[in-house]
Amino acid sequence: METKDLLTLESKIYQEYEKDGAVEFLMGMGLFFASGVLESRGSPAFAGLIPIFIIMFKKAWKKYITYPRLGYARFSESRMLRRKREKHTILLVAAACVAFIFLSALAASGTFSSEVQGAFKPYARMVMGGIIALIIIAVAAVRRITHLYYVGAFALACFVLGHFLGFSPGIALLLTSFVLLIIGIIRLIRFVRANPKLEDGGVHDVNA
Amino acid sequence: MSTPDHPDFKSLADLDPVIHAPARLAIMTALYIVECSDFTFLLRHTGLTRGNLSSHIVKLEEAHYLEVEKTFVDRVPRTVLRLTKEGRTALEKYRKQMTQALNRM
Repeated sequence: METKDLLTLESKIYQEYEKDGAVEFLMGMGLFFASGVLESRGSPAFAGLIPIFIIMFKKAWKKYITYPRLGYARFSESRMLRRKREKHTILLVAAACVAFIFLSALAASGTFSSEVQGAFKPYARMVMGGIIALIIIAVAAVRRITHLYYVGAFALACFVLGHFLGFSPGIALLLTSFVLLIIGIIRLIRFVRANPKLEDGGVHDVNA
Repeated sequence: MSTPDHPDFKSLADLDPVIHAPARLAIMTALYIVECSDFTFLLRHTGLTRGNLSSHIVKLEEAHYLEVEKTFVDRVPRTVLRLTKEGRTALEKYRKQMTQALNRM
């Protein structure tokens, strides 16, 4: 694809697929479960399952909500390559976050020595807030979703407030997840209204 | 080389008739933008009816500009359409001819 017009057109079509609310809703779900892990303090191993659960849920979302309305399309190799690199970056940050949640849960259960816990504890909330905000902002930058920048700032504010007011990181995560879930649901409703489902989806025999 | 006094209409007459039909041009352009797509994607972006779209796809397939691949995704059949190399080249040539012709008008 060599002309600017066609690239703009491709970009516009690609952006339509981002308006289904999946990103916000699934991030909200992920943070909701992460807050559950933090609050329960009993099953840190569950944190590792969150990304797998999200990937499975995203596949189902695209299959049952997005593709029957917009149709399936594979974009150019260069875009897919860029997307892959972006996905790896987000996964890496998400893995760091899951590792951090795991470590926090272990620290809370008293696995580490008191010295390690002493050094770790005062800044734990701030660091976690920073990582969560970073993930949300990274997704916003990659997907060009402006409102996610505000959600990132909101998440950081929740953690900072938690540090000073004394509420747990799980509550900060829960608040952020609620905001994301609400945005996701609103965008999903708008998407479904704007794009009615076409009968018989993408299945059609052109040689019939 | 043509001048405004003597426009070159030959390039217009040489336009590929398979692509020149508006419906087929819409299909070709939509498929040129993406690597491949399904029937629903084309329905949405061309605004054609199912029957109309099917018949034009068959014509493009016969001209070897487009290939239709039938696959199963999670046991659900999916018809994936993509432009062939020949199809891409033909559309690029059409664009070039059309742009040149319009610039001379």
